[in-house]
Amino acid sequence: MNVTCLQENLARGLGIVGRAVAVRSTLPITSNVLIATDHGRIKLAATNLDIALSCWIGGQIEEEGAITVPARLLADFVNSLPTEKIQLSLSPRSRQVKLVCARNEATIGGLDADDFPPIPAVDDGGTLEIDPKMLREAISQVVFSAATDDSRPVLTGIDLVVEGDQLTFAAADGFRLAVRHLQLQKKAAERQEVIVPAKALAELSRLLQDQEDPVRMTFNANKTQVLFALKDVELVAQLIQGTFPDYSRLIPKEWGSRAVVEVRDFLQETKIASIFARDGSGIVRITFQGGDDGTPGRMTIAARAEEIGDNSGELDAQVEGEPAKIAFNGRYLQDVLAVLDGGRVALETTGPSQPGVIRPLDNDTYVHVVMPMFVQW
Amino acid sequence: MTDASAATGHEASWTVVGQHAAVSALASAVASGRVAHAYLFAGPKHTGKTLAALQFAQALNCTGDGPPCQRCRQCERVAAGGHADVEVITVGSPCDESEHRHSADERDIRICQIRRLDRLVTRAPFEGRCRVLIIEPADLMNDAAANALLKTLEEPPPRSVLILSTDREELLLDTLRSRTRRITFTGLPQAAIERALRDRWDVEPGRAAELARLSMGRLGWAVVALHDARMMEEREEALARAEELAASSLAGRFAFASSLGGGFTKDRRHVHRVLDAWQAFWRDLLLIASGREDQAVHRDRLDRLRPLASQCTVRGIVGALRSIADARQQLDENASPVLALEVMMLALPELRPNAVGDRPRP
Ligand SMILES: [Zn+2]
Ligand SMILES: [Zn+2]
Repeated sequence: MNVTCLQENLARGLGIVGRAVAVRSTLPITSNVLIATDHGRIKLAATNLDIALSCWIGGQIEEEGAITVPARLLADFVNSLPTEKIQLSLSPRSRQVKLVCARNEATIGGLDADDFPPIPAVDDGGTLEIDPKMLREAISQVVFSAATDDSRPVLTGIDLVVEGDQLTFAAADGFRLAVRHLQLQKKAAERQEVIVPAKALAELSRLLQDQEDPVRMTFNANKTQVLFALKDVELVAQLIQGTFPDYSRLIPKEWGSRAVVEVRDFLQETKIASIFARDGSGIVRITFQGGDDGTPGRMTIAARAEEIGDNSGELDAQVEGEPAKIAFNGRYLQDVLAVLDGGRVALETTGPSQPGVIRPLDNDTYVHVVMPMFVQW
Repeated sequence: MTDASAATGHEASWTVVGQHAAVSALASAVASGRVAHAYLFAGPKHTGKTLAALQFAQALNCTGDGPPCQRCRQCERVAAGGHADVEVITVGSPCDESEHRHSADERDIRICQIRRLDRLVTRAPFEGRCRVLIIEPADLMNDAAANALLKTLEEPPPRSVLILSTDREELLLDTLRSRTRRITFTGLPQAAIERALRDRWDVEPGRAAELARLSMGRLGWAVVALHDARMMEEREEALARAEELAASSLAGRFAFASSLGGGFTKDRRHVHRVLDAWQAFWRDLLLIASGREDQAVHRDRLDRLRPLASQCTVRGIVGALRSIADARQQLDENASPVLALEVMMLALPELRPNAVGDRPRP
């Protein structure tokens, strides 16, 4: 192999695939990055066997070839080089990669590309195109609700359902549930459901930041992998095997009390109350009621910590139904309010021991359900 | 290739020696597609359980004809230890906790290691058709780990197979055993081991016969001994020591118990290997004392063993063997190693030493 590329391109590529390099693994080669010539470009790839990232960068190919080298070492070296051309070469039947850039020269020992875990090909289960901004927003609105411990592995994933022209994301950890619908440009041929590890979607979200073109999402036919193809970058994630709980019945169909408030104010007051709630179990108490004679209603968000003090904040609210009180974990409330992009939001409840429902007012593509905390009122 | 040519049908390409029932059960499971979610590979150490587990993993992922074909990419990658979907969970293997660093000196397989397994089994296989996770030795799971595994077995995810491998299945929870399909491995006849050593490992006949005798039915032991001269030396030392201790005072015995027991936490395996050799030593004395000298393992030492055996009663030797077995059990149950070995020393009969001039050269 003998290739030449720009330092900045190689550094950027290694930065992208570096996110998938295994930290610890029973397969030592997974801490390496694969470098290979591929149809006139240079392909970089890494996998921790949960996700695999591939990235293609431009360069001059003098001689085809492939090798894997320790990812950290290579990235550290390349990052410290000047922004000039880098030449990578590998003599035949050798595993020593020679790098030359300006007046620097290094040799890095590698492992055979043949021993690198083959990144699964995902091509036969139908492809969807998704707007990258919408996809990123959808992921951000559900990903924090996924479970972080492995006691129920399916809950560490995000449930993806494709049906008609809708793509639905859902995540739940036993205390809260987030569901987001996304409109597709084209109708899907058939209903499909898969569970994608939340960590994989968090990585995807990071990659979507500077993506303009539509993202192509492909499942393979036996539902073992999903591929997200971006411009010059591909992410393959191993799907979680199992059945996601039927969450539709967890979303209350009706409410007894409903308050509509500004997201910004609601978040601000929740943050303040949470400071006082830090010592307890993070409980914030919410009460709301309608106003008299056409005056606006109000919502109170309070917290108290024994020995420290208490806090109570108030905001204007448009209230329907009975006056209500309900307590939540302040952290959970902040999590959901932080990912709603401003505007107004409705909090619905049927009683202090029933789940609270949060819906943005201006669209019906998102719903969030939070379990209440049980407190003495 | 005596064993392979004797096999028929689906088993033709398996190279596990002698375990026909086990291989045939596994091969026909693959051929019929009726593969259980979890297996228990039970049988003595060094009888082919690990090799069978790896060949089962190959067969489940093989893309060639007559799985495991040993020629396709999948078979090759499993054999090279580089397959992304085949993993052995054992003492010291990694877990998913970023702050943990496990090492092979640990006593048991822990819950965090089983949690990693839990995560792995729920992930679709990466490069093959089936994930194969081998827990070995399964009896070394601590209680928390075993209970966590039990939960996994209650809801086994698709496209994954768990193999629990053990030579002490009585130490496993009944509930674990009942949720696995049992595959039994047995010790091999001496002749089969001798033949395999000659035919497959090209060992010259005299040495093959000696190793076969010493292996006590465990082909794997003989193969390791073939390549590891240290193992034979260690065994010679342990035998000389057994002989010496049989003739030494209680104070001498206790001193040795304390030095051997003191090293237990650092190297459990060494202690077990020493006890293996002692067991073999007393077993030989028993065979000689009861007139079955031809079955003795240490034929090269008969001249030294005969005068010792003549001083013993069968009852005394049986007592010695029992005390060694008891000491082993106590070590497994995490009793104080020194104390367990001292109790064992008390029960060993005291013999008159062989004349000093007879000592074999070290
Ligand atoms: Zn094969
Ligand atoms: Zn651990």
